[in-house]
Amino acid sequence: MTKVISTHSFRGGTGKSNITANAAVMLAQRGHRVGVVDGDIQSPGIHIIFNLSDNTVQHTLNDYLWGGCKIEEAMYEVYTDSKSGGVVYLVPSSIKPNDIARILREGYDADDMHNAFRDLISAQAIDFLLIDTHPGLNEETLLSITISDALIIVLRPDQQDFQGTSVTVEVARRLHVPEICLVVNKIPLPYSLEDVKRKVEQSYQCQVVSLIHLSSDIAQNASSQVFALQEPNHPFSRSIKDLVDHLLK
Amino acid sequence: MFTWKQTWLQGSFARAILLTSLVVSTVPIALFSILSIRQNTEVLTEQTQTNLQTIVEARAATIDLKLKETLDTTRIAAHGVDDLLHEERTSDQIQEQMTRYQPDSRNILGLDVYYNSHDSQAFLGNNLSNVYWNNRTSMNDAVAHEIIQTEKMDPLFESIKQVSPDTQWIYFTTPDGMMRLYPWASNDHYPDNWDPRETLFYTIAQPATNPSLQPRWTPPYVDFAGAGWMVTLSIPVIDKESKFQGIMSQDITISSLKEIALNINILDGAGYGFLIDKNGGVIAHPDFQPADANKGTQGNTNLLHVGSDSFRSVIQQMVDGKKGFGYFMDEQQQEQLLVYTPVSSIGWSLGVVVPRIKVLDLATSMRNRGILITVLMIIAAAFVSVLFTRLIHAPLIQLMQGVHHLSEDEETKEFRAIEVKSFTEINHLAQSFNEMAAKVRARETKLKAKVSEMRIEIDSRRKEAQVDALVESDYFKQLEINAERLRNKLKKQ
Repeated sequence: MTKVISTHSFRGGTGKSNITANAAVMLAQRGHRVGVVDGDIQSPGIHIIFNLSDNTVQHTLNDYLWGGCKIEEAMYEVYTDSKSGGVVYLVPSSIKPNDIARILREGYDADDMHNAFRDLISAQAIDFLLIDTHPGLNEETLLSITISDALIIVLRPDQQDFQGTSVTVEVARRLHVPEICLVVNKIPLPYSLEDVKRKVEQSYQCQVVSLIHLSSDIAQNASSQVFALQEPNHPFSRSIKDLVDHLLK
Repeated sequence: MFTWKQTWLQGSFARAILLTSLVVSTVPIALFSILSIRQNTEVLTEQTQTNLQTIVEARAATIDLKLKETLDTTRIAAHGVDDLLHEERTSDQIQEQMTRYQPDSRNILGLDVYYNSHDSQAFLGNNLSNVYWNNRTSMNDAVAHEIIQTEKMDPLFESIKQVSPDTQWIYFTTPDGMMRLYPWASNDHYPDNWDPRETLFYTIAQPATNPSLQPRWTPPYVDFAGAGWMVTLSIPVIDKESKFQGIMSQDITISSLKEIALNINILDGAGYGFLIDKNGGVIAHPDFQPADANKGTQGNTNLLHVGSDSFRSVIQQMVDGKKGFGYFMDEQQQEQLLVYTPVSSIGWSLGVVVPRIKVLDLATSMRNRGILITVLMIIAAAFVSVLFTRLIHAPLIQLMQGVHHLSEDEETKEFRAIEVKSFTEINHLAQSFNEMAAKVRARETKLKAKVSEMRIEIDSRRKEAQVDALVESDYFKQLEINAERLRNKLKKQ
């Protein structure tokens, strides 16, 4: 049965897309068929992490939502694990300025987005559908959260994120999302991970499934590739593994 | 991973420094020493032989010098007597002088009777000469001339005796059988019917047996007057008309020569010296010349006729006047080294015998000393290397301890500055480290203070307001109602 997981953060720049991409690859490495949808139509970017070039991309999620193509046409195989047989399909959003402007101007039918998820699951027999959502809580994001079996909220240890996350957690609870978990990213090095985990869990009454220190290595990687593939033993990669382990429970 | 608790020798840097230092300091010493020691046994044996050769040559030169003095003084005496014999004297003068020369009870003509009758008895060794003439043969003018003229040799004989302490007797013997001897010795000492012309000192030098007319030396013998072992040099006196005038002889004690030969102290008394004449006859040898031999005893031992073949072979080399060394087996079957050199003026040869084992012992001893010195040098070099390494490495350990201390998450611990006494550069490094450590610790303290202040403060009112704004919308209400259905819708795929 497909498990739908939304990755969300109240604000941008939390590393949400990076965590989603790395988690998707790790799931595939364990033999799962994974679908990733770039739900951040207004500021897309996860395709860069998968090295999906503009020339390769013929159709995007935008085309599907506007009825311009089938979901299979907007879907790209971005990673295959030959050992386990796992695979990652990405449905990117358009990065063309006109398309983004049109979406912002005209919006789209949230049901169509729902259909996109459904069609993708159906087309590729997806085990895990990861939705990289737009920051904040607009209608599309609320839809993604609503249909998810699990919601991963990514936050940084600063006051704005703490405040915003509290809203997201509350909203998710209202929507009866079966599983809500937290990933704290970009934790300054002097901070004790145990201390952060304890305080965050106490504040939100949610499980913190992964804690990631601020890392210059990740910053230098600049979301240009799936970091865990390059540095599988890096502390960042180990933290993503914690997340994946949790998702697989 | 290296930790500061490990000993300094476990550090690879320390090992590298130590190893480099050790290799640089000890390997050349070891190589040099090994090469030296490998050569040493042979080289030292040769060196010992060379040293012995030098000693032997020096001793031979000393003997040579003494013998040359005897040769020179005897030649002077020979020239002197030649001149005197050619002096013309009247018969009256001779007869007048001859009145003092009277036959004794054995009819030996000399001065014994004269001195006895004049109550001025001469005694053995005083500075007068005496004449020996067996009066059985009738006296004639020629003999009387010889007696009277040779009397004038006394001052010269005295001078020679004074300048040559080894000179015991100096005497001239004519073909007529007259002998003038200096210093005084009574004719009572001679045996009955003794004829000096039949005595070795005369027979070896007379032209009949010595056609080359060279000076001749007798083998050693024990002096009849108690002066010990001595040898006689005899020189034939030939006048300008090549007429044989007689034999000038000089007896010298060879105690001083023997002393030179026998008292060579080699390898702490392990060796001995000996002297042989040109025929191999012993002049001086510790085994063939007893000090307490009877008067008149003649040393007639010839080394060419004793000992092993190898010994005689080396002696033959000596007899042949050669210089060098050889090995021979002695009676105890011990191998001996014999170093020899000729005493050139008279054809004698001086030799020194040293047990070969002693030579090897010396070489071995020197080699062992070389090894000991090498080992000590290597130990010293190693010690210096260790000190040098510690001097460099100890401050590094201190710095590592400082880094470890700095990295410890113990706020209560105050960072102690590192005090290093090493090379200037390392001292500066330690100083820089202390400055850096102080800054790091200050920054760390500041950060820790921040961490302790981290709090999650959520504005509940604001949160509720934001949530309310969302959940009140129709869209949210729809979602809330349909949430389960929407999720299930996907599951049905």
